[in-house]
Amino acid sequence: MGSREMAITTFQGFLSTAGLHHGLLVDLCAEQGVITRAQLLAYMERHLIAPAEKDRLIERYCRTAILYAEADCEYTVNPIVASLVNFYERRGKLTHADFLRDQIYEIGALTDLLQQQLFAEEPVVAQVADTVDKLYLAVRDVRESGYQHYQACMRAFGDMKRNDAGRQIDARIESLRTVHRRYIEPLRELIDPQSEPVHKMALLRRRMADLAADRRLLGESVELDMRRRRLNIDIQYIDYTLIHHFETLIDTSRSLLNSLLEEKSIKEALARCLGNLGSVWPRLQAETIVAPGLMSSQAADLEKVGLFFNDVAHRKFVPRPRPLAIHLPKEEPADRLLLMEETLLARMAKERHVAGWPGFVAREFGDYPPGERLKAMVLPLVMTDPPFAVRMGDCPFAIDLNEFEVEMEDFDVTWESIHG
Amino acid sequence: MVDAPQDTQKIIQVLLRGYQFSDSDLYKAVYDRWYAILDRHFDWFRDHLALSGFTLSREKQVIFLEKENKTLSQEERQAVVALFLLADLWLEKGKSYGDLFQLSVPWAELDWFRDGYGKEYLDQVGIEGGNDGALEQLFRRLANKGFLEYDDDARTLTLRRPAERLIDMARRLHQQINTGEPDDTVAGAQEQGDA
Repeated sequence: MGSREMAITTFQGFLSTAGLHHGLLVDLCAEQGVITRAQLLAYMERHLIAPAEKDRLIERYCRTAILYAEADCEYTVNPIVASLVNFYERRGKLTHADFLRDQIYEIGALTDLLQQQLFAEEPVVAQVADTVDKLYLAVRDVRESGYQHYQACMRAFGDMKRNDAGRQIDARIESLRTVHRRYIEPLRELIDPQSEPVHKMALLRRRMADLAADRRLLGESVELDMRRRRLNIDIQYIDYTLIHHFETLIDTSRSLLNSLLEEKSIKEALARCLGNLGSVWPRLQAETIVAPGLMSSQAADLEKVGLFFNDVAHRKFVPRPRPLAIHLPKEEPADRLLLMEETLLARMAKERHVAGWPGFVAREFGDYPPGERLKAMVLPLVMTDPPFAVRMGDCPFAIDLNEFEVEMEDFDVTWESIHG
Repeated sequence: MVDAPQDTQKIIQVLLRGYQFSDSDLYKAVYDRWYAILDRHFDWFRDHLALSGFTLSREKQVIFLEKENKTLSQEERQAVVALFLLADLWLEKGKSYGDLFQLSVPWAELDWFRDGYGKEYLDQVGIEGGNDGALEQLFRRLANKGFLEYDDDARTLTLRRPAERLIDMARRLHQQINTGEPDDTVAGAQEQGDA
């Protein structure tokens, strides 16, 4: 088979080649301009193509006209393939934001012209219609390239996320910053309410409203009315969709950059900490990193603790905190707590004769603490030089004073009036 | 009277085991309910646990019992080094930080983690010579505490939110080390030595 025949491929052959390494092809089509052989091999590496396969695949791409060999070791992607792939991959075309801005200035100039024509003493329908048509083309340009730009930028972000694996974080930050500076940051001017392009678009909307109100002019030409409507649709698209897309781009770019910077900072922090473990430990002293928990040998304890918590949790033990209240001790005279000797003597003097003194104390002074009562019961027996006479009885006396029991011989007390 | 939240006994037992609940539990059967209960009734749990001397803490989406003994255990040092190192090398390979908490990493692929300069750091916390067994045990224990998912069959690990809390501590530590804030006894001693 001759080499000439090999250069021609069937559509079937083209399709099967194109379907071989879909991801690789998508990446190649994203490249604008010349692709060097080294770049080509790097892409293949990334898409896990075996080294032995690489040359054969390049040859096959060339044969099926997917790649054009431009010079030694330099290739371009067939533009038809690239635009097809990019269309299906929803990959837009990057536009310099300056281009969009210039278009909007152009729109501004046309708007001024429209104004003059609309408010001329004798408006000429044909002139107005021509200007509206020019405006339509300029606005359409902004709409289309703006949308393409949006898609291309979003795609570029996606590619960065997909293909940047393995690249150093600093390089990734650098490339994102470049994209941001070139393609994203200039968009800010197009959406900033204070900026001139935004004023120009507002002016255009006002003139369009003037035109819409001009029944006489529109009545003269059906064509003008149609063009006006067509233009309005694009203006609305820019106002509602494209501006929103641009805002999305700015936000996305900013948050991507932030997350990369975050990554950079955590990477630095980790490296620093690992290199200074000695300084890390004292600073973690008060932190709970991993709590020890209870081991299987302590299972019994765990169960007990668990049961306790079960009780707490299911409100068997319910802590019912009351509001804090301080009960001041009641002020009571000391003779309510202590049985004074005088009190007892006064009582004896009053009674003159008490048969069964211990029983009498138990009955009459029952409110006093047990210790006081006991002292009172035995007072007549221990008092030196008493003003009364004690006569021991024959029967025993016993009483339970709660804190202790008392057993003794009963006795009577008789007051001796000499002292009284 | 307010009804007691459901499953409280189980939740408290799990907390006592040293398990750290987090929003990663939302993807785990049973634990998803427990985390939701704990999250909703956090104050209730904190107050009740406080009655028996336990401190329940919450840092963002991580809820855990503070350890009683405030000294750094060897296991904690190992956890710090292993997770810091894992994250460091992961980023070193140009992978994204977010993916570290999303992807399942096959254990066998972690040789980059066990070899090289990682060995040196692991040595410092008693996991010597890239002792695979000890390291795997550590990861299993950390899995029990809620730090990561360890799939025994596939031998893969996936980091969870409590691991993120730990790794994020590096930022604060980094700042403190750089500004030479308190506790920097080591640097202080070195400076004195130099002078």
